[in-house]
Amino acid sequence: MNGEDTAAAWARARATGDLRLAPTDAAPPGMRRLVGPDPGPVWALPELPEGASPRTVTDLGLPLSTLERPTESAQVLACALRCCWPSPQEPIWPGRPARLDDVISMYLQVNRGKTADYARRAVLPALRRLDWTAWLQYRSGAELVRLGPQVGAWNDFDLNTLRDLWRMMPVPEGSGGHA
Amino acid sequence: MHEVFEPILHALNERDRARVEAAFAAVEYSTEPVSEAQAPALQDAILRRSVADMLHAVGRELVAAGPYTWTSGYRDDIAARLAATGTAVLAESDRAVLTLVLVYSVAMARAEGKLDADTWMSPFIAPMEDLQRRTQVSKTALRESLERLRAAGLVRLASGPTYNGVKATGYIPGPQFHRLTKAARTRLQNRLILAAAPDSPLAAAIRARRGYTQEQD
Repeated sequence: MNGEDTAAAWARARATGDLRLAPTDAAPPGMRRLVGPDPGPVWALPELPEGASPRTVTDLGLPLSTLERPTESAQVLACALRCCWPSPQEPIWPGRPARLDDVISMYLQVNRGKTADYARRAVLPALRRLDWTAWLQYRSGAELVRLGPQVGAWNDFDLNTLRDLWRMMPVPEGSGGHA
Repeated sequence: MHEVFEPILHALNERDRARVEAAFAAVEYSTEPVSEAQAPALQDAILRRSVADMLHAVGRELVAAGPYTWTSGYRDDIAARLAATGTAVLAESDRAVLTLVLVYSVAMARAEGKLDADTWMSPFIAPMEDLQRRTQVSKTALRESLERLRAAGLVRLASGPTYNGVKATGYIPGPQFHRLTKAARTRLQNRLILAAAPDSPLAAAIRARRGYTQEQD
């Protein structure tokens, strides 16, 4: 791959947030190949030097892009993670598909006193936002929620924090996240 | 060793390398343009060149967003290449809604002399009521388009003036408009004229100059 193709691949990854590869393709230079559940998609994830990563922006005190309704979006991501990641001792990626109803039920456990209707109105738009940004995979109207390739990019430091979060979350009701 | 960035960074000492990497992160990921005081590598012409080289290697370029402030945007050649393959191209209804926001928020304000010719950030809202009335898409499709456009940073919800004690709400261009290169701003300006005043002499001149019709380009 020449420099121009590499530049286009990086730009495509930024524009889509979700650069998919053919199963036999190598990752473009500077990117990591992330294999999904078998059989499933293969992604290329840009890898940045630590000092050039978005984390640095926070250190500089500059505003970083956040999802709309950040608290609700983060809660729904946490609920989906808890349902898609059955054990924190196992690798988080690729996880397993969770039923939409299980994610909604987890949201209700986290937000006691809310109605099922309220939960659906909160969870569905948040899932769409998380899908656009590749944190989750969720197609409107689908019954299953899957982890997105951004989750596969988390490093060991991130995962330690997430394991603590996992332990604070309620136990999923029903099937516990089985497809 | 980073395959893409190392050829650019290897000649720098540790301190300059950290400053260049930080400036790269700042312009790439901050939602607002970055001042040279916030990212000192941007003050130094040689280090700024290294930041620009890092951006160029990943299909981006340094964009001057104002005096001593910088951001980054897609290189024009790369943007054209992505658009040609349909990558990250907005759906037709999203483009229609975005155009309507730009007509209200930018084109009308510009026509009234309230906004500079080369500015795409506008404080003048496209009122929600007008968007609902003027658009040909359904209310549900409008709501979904605005949701996607907000998520992409292309529009932002804002408050307008108060009438009869009620504050109007609507949309203004989102932070992504900071990231347009000079050439992209010109292209957008021409297209906005074609969309807002297709029968005007200016639109005819643009079509003649560029040799395209409204359906092309």
